[in-house]
Formats: sequence, C-alpha cells, structure tokens
Amino acid sequence: MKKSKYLAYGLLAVVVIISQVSFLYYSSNKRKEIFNELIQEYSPLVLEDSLGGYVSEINHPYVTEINNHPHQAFVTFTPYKKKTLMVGYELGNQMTLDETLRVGDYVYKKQGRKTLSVVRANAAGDSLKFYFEITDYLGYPVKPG
Amino acid sequence: MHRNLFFDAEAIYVDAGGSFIGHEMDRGGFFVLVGKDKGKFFTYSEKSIYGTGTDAGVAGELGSIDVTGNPNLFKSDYVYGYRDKFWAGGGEGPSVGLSYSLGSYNGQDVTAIAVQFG
Repeated sequence: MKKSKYLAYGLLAVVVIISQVSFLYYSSNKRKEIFNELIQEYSPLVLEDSLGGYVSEINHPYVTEINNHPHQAFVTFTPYKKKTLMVGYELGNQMTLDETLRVGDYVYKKQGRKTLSVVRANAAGDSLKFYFEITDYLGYPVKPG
Repeated sequence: MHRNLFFDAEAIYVDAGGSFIGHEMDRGGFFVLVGKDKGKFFTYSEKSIYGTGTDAGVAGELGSIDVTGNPNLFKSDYVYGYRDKFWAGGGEGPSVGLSYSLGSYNGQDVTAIAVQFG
C-alpha cells in the first residue's frame, strides 16, 4: 500500500515537473520573441543616432509577459519615430527613466554623443532638464564602435 | 573573485507561507546587495499555483536573486511583477525542496533560486 502511494506520488511529480519545465521553456522563448519583435519595431537608440522629438506615447504592450523596465522605454516621437531608449540613472538626481520620462517631454541627442537630454517645459515657460547616458540593452555604457 | 558572499547575487531573500500540494502563498522580504538600493530591505508577497509538492503546511524559502546585465543598475523594482516559478518539494513530516523563478525585463532576466523547507 505504502509502495503504491510513493509510486503514485512519484508519477505525479514526474508529470508535473515535465509540464513545468516545458512551460518555462515555452514562456522563455515567447518572451524572447516578443522582445525581438519590439526591438524591430522600436529600434534601439545607439551612439551613432541623432534624435530630437516630443514624446507622444510611451508604450508598454506586454504587461503580463514582460515587466516594466525602470531604465528602458519604448517611445513614439513627434515627428514620427519609434525608438527604444535604454539609459542609466539620471546624471543629476539618480532617478530612473521610468520615474522621469512623460508624454510631452522633448528628447534630444546629438550624433556620436552618449548623453540623452529630456526637457520638460511648463505653461509658464520654465523648464526642467534631465540628462542620461545611453546604455546597451544589458545596461552597460556604450562604447564607440 | 566574487563581489559578495552570495556568488555575485544582486539580492537575497527569505519568505514564509503556506503550501498545499502544489499551491503556495508567501510573504517575505529581500535584502539588496548592489546598486542604488544596496543595503535596503523590501517586503513582498507571492502566489504560486503550479508547483510540485506532496505535502501541505507551513514552508519557508531562502534564496538569491540574479539579474543578467549591469548590476549597478539593479533596483528593487526588478524583483516585483510577473514571473514564472517552478518549484518542487516533498517528504513526510519535515520536507525540503527547490524553487526557480524567472522574470523578464526587455532583454534582461531576473532569476531567483531558493531552497525550501517546511
């Protein structure tokens, strides 16, 4: 009786472990596919790029599969351009991009420069400026190629 | 040479909760070892519904959290949010197990590996 109970537990464990490993594998591949698709749509901002535009949308399309990264953002700009921004902490106040970037902000970067600037102006004409250093997708500083 | 005693983990965590034949609910906290939140302790709660376990009762977990990518940018935010968790444990009376969970952050993975006891 005891032996058959252990056998049943063992079989159940094997079935569940196989299904869990399969699910993890599937889920991991799915996330990689999603990320690759997003990178195709929102090309990463790199050292060689120049950028100047107003943030019209900060997109986060797969909230279940991919958590919101504090140092990255998928952004649509006006004039129309889609970019993935990947940066370190804000150089002045050590804030994250997620805490800083808002729709309506003006974002610019000169070609060949590592610094990304975010400018927010209010109705009175005052402006706040935030500076970030761009990184690669793993968060490391970019180096000239 | 490792940055810390925990094989370069970005954080360590401990939690306790109830488990019931493959289901688990925990409350715990994690201690950050690198980055802006270094030295800070944060709490969290967790619900896991796809485990492998042969028992029911009170269980605890002790583990480490690793992130692919620049450790200096690690922030407590990385630990929260959706992740897939695989865990297995068993035994009559005292039981032990292992758990592995994976969360994704746009090209970076957050992995948590732990031993379970209960």
